[in-house]
Amino acid sequence: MCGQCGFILNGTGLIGQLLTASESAMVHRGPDSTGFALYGEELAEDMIIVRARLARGVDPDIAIENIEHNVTAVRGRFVSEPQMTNGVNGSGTFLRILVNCSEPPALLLDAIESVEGTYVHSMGRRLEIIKDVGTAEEVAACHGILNFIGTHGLAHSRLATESTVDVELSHPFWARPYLDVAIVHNGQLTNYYKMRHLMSQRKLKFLTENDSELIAVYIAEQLSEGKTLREALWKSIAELDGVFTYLLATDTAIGCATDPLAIKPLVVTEVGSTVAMATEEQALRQVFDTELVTEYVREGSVTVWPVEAATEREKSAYSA
Amino acid sequence: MPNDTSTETQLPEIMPDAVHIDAEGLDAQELNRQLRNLSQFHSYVVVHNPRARHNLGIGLESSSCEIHFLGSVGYYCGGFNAGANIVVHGNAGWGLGEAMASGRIVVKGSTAWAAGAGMRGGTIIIEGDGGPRTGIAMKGGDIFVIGSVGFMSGFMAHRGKLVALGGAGDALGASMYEGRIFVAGPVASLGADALERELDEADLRELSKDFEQLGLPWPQEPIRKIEAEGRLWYFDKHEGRIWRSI
Repeated sequence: MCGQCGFILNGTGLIGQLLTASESAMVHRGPDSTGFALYGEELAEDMIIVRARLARGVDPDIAIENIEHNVTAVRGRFVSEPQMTNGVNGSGTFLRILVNCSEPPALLLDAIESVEGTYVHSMGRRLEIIKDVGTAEEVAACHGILNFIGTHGLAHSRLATESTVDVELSHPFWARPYLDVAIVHNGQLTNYYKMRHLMSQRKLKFLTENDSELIAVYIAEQLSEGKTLREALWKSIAELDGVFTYLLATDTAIGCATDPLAIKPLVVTEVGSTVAMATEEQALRQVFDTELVTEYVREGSVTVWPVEAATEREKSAYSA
Repeated sequence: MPNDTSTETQLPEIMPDAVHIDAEGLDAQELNRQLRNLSQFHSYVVVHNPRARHNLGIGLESSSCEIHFLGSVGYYCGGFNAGANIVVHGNAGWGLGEAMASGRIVVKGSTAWAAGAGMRGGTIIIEGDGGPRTGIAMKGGDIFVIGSVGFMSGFMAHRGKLVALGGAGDALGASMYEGRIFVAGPVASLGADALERELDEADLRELSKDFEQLGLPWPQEPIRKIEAEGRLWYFDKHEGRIWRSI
């Protein structure tokens, strides 16, 4: 089943609070785990926010020391003391590290993950992925999601179908090693192994064996080659096989693609300049008091909503 | 599919003696229990704040009562309906009136997937558009859609009648048994084994009677009748190709 939602605000606001309220209404669609992809204020060039988890049983102090040592080895440095949060029901230690590094993100990623028991959830100038086992309310309360201020974001409650209940296998997924690209996905791919084989030949890497992570990397690779988000999404409909209605976020837009049968629904509404989308209509109505004009995303279609704060040039690129 | 707005101002000016319930704070089970009781003693029940929640108005008994939902409803509204009159002043989610036996459901807006799935009797009237798979596996009853219906509508319909006045998506009437589809407007494609047939006198009489009763305007575009050709009723392994619908 899975329940997903996304919001684009007019400017900045309490994005975490909106996503939590909306996702809480869809707990019945996926009680296993919940995740958020939040986009905050943009950092300066060279600054990267790293969100990661240390496995249960790993000593956080020693691990952080090792991570800092490895980051220094790739000419990076910690900008501030890493923030540590204990996960829901002892699911590990969650880290938020602000790093200054001008090397390619892939190098930094390898440096951090070479410390045993460290799993990087996201890296970006604005993107922060927080995911944990538990319901939306539990995860939000534990990780301070409700106070997060940002421009847009995605959230997802997962009902595990293809793989086990696990923090790393929860959505959203980060398109490693591409900064600021995140995905939430409802459905399952049937040509996963074929696609993964082809992509591995192009030296693309994955943290998990989850099909949704593959879509994120697939789209991010095309964006890095200069394709627009809209073009990349259309290509995915032609090349991916199976069931999918997914939301892909970058720092400037949220895009959606559906397979030709679109059995997984997505309802979209616009209230003022706020765009909101969710698997179930009632999840949107938890957030807005006014009566809504809603629209279901069509089968085999692509939609792109630019983030208000994006520059005019970027907007025109997405509408092309 | 386009949907329309629904506001409280659309509520008709009847029902001076209506009973009002606020769905806010009631769980679906409790709300349905109250609806079942109230509908036996009152002519009108008005439900406020349905907020597109699921499973509203399930298993209601036959009565002369009209139940109005002021706003959109979620999945499976009016499921297992056994004779109640339900009016939704908004849109309806997935599986509206699923497996209903009798009664009537009117939706002022549009519906999502599979309205009237497996219904056995009664009438569903959708004033906006019906989503994909409208009338899937219906085994009786009538569905009238003023707008269009989505892909694979009437899929595996055993019996019953689906009328769409604004056209239909791909694979209309795929793999049907004895159901009938009447459609006006553009049809993207017909499904496996679906065949267009001439409207006969009896059909015209039946439709004009329905339209008159429901107060629907006769469509400008000609009405086409879609039925099963019957090639899929008996399985032959050499005929794999005709089993494909999309």
